[in-house]
Amino acid sequence: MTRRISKMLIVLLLSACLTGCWDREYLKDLHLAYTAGFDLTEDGMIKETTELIIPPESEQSTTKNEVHSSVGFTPRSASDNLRTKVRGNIRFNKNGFVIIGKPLAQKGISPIMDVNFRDPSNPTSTVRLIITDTNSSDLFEPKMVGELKLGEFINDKIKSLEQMSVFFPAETVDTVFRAMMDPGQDFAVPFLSKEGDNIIAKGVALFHDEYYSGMLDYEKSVMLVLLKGKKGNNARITKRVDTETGQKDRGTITINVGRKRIKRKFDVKVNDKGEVEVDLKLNLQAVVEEYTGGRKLDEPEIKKINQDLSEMLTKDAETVLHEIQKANSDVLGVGRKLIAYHNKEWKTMNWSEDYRKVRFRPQVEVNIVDTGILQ
Amino acid sequence: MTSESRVTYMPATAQTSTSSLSSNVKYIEEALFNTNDLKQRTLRGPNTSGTLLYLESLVDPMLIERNIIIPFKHQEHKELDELFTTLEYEQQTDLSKGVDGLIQGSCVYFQEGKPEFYILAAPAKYDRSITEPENEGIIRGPHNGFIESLTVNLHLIRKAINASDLIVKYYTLGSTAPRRVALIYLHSLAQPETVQKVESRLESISIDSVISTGFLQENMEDNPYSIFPQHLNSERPDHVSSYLLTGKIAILLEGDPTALIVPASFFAFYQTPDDYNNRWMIASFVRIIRLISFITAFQLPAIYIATVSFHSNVLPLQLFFTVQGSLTRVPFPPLVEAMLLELIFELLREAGLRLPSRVGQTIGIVGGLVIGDAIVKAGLVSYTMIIVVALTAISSFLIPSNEMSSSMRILRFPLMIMASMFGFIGISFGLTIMFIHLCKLESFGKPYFSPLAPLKFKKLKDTFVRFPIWNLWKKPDSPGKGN
Amino acid sequence: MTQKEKMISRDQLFLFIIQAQIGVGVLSLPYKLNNSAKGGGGLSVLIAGMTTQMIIILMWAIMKKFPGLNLYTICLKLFGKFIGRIFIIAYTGYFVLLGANIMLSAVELLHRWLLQSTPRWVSLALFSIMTLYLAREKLTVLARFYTLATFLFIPLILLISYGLTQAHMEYMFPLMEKGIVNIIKGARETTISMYGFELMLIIYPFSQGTDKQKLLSISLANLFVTLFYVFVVATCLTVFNSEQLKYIPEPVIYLVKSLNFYIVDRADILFLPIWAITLVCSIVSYCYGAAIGMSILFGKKEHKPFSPLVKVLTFSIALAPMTPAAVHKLDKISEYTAYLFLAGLPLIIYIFSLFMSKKTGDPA
Repeated sequence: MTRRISKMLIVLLLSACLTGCWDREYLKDLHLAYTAGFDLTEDGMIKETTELIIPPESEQSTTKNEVHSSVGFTPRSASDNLRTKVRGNIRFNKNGFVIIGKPLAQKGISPIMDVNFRDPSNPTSTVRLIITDTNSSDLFEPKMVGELKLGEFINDKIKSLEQMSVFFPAETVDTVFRAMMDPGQDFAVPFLSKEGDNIIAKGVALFHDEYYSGMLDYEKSVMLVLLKGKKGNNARITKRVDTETGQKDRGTITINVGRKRIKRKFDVKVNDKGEVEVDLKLNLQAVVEEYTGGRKLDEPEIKKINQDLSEMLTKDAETVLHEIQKANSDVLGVGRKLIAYHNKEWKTMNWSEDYRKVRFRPQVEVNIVDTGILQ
Repeated sequence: MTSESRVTYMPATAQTSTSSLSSNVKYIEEALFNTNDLKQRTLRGPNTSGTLLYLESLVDPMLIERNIIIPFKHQEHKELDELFTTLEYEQQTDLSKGVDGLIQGSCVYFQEGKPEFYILAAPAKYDRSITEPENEGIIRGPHNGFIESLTVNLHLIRKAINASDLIVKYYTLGSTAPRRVALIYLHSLAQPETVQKVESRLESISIDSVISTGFLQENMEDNPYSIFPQHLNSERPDHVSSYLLTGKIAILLEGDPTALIVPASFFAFYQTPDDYNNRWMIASFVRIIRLISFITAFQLPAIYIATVSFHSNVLPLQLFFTVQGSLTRVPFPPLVEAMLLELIFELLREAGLRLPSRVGQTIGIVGGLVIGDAIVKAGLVSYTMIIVVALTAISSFLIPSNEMSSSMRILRFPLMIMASMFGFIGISFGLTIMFIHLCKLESFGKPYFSPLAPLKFKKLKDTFVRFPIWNLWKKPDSPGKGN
Repeated sequence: MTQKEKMISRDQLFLFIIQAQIGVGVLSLPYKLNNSAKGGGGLSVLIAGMTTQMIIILMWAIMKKFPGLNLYTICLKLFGKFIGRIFIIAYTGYFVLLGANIMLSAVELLHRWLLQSTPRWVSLALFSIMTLYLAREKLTVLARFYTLATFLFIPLILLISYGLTQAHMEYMFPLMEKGIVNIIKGARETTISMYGFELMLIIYPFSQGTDKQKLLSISLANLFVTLFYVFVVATCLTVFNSEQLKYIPEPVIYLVKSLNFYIVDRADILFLPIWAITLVCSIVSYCYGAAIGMSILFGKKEHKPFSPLVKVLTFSIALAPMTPAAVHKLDKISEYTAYLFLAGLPLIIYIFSLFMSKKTGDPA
């Protein structure tokens, strides 16, 4: 009896074979969108610009790219409209970047991001979110930067800047999703802009909730990364420490604080009056990479420079904190600390308002531990 | 003919000999259908005279001359019983026994006027010399191998194991062309239940003839519908004796250089004598490599098919483009592409197997260079698929046992079909079925997939890796609970 | 072809219970716990583990009273032929229902994540074939396969723990945000993902060892499962914040989805097929239990002929609900029947057995 049943099952399975294979999607039929840009059109629709990667005709040649754009109510509907325009089936399986224009980002990015979170075939951990100064479609012109395709160029650029601690840790769709949902945490993503034919990393775009709310320039971005207690392989800061000489290239020092461990103390307290106070202590261990002061970096000199740098960087930190507070962007996650450790007080707060009232007390201490192979 | 413990074939009906010499001879001639190689010679002595019958193709003339004719000529009134100096000697009155003796290389001597006749052994031995088996070469260790003679093979095993409790049991199988089968085991190590099982299965075999050990194998398997071989085989005395020393049972067949070893477990097919000749770290490394080959040998094409037809998401970006680039011009779905290439590979393999080695090289060139290159240039198959199939082929050759390697080669086809239908889920379905099958398979009452299922941690020391020998168990298969 | 049941060893009993317990439930457990207990999810799991342990001891007490008998034969002995058979039918039905429910949840999960357009009956058929092939076998073969399948937990645990690299401890705090009541409520939901241990009622007499050793094996299995669940829940609660978790019904897979290694970009695509194999074990356990029940019901010695019947039943039950609402309903039904069959009936049996032994003066 069992044998007959197993035979029946085999027949069933074979019939399943014949009816076809439902979820099959051949790799060779896919057309990959590597970069996708989103903008707001004048009548409130979403304009999607994508860079498609076209597989090579023969084995040896390299891939090519095409740029197309279309309009729809949402990213998915825009993509569907795009499919009517281009050959083959566009897929976002290997999407590398979601680029959003500032005008759209100001109106909120959650409708744009939803499809990225929801569709199981969309990647999340490798997709980086980028904000552009103007409409994102500007970035797609021209489609090649030198020898590189646009997507490759942006990829290289972002990755190297991540290593230089400008955007660190990498904000992917994953982390953005997390921060967007989190009431006590905001995020900052790379901010690119187009100057002539060049794509320039201007700094980071600050977000409040899902809305773009401001930006920090390149140097402040590094400071912000350090304030988070994070760093890439390198984190360089150049300061003028010796103002005796008038020449601009004399008397500066470039330190790299990304080589050694950063000690960070981040204390969130609520005082008796219900005000939030944040003590942020950073202890940076610096390696001197360039010093044009003309003096030997002996112990007393280092001590002096340490002191100078500490003061300057503390001031920088204050500026950065002030700016993110102005942008109402809780990048450092003060709210998260409050939720976790001061839950009672948190519940009485209106964080979008009260964040601006938070009192930050940053203190940066620089310690030069290495002066390179010269003293 | 005396040592057989049981005769399983049907002998011709007993026919008592008469005192007439000519009628006896006539009976024999007729029983052998007047075959032309039946020779007779009349021997006349002072007291007696008679006729010596033999099959010239089976006897050794030297032995007949030395042990029968010369003593006969120089007989000094001795009785016939004491006269012949052959090693085996029997007085009979049953003519059918005489026929049996003749076809096993004995002479039959009929006396004038007496019904009793003598069966005198003088078998010719045209054995090839003991050489190392070609398909089981090892780097270090003894370089001898079994030949087509059971006696010599038993000799080799006895030489390797000088133990008094090494038991040999003879059986005779086949009704038309009976052959001797020997069962060998060490009494103190082999488990009685297993021995009993093997014996009863051997006894229950009823076939016309046993051409090779393959016949025995198929008649004795626990699960003939399984794709996995359930008997180990080897042509190496050292290999066989090492298994005997772990309590396994060997079955040898007259005229076949292959010994069957039971009960076999899955992992035994992945082990070679070289594992113990190498130092343990190297042996462990080799075993791990083989384990990887186990995975690649039948899963790699399936994984590739599933990846390119379902889950291209898993490929990292650069790999994605590389694979896509090689696929763009291929007109077939991946399954067809893979099947095509596997078919070509199997054709080449089978063609190369039967051809003499010099022509075989040509096949290699035609297959590897001409077809391999042309098929890609023609755009029928992608480069990545060639790499996948080639890797698969190489890994399947890494399996020491030819039988297991064939099983693995067949196994990958259903897996490929499943993969092309359901992607990774299909593969995990196929693997689940396969592993359930391996779990329920038993070889002579012993779990086939041991020591993994049931799990025995101590034995794993000599399964995936090989621990130093002093660290291994004392008696690997010591009788114990095994479920 | 003798169906003589060989005993399974104590290790195999341990693994059997683990494999029967860990099912689909754990994948959505963090989601459910986030809704009820939030950061205290880990505590909920611990409480649930203790509750299960209590039920295990209760069941053990029953089994100890009737050495050599399994649930069904105990029912027959205690309640006589008629009522005993009703009990058997009830338990068999329960096992069938649960088997169907797990299979359905597994298939739903696969469809959401991997095989969006494959018809459900096809994947249900796939699972049915796999499980039928195993459920027909002897208990020892089941145990052997479960042992093998246990090795799959290694990559699964590794994958999940890789997610710890993204963990933020603060997401879990404050632990007691939702209060004790909600944590206990969470514990109730967790217990439902822990079922499977009731199969000890069937396999207990087929395992080696003294009563105490068996209890130890089963309890250790329960401990392992509890700790595993705590680990999974804690990982998910630290990787996702609670606002986010509200939208992610299967946080474990979502977590794995975001992992990438050098040669594999999307770990969830590997995770799910592996997980599917461990699910086979859960389903098979129930089908085996149900088939044994039927064989005793009809007075047959072998359960083999009944396995296909059980499989057809589970297949049809799992095929019946078409909408997500209906699926949810089946889930709820099995949840409530589970309460009855996990705690309710064993308690009745236990009390009855006490009563019986007092009356007859025979401590059994």
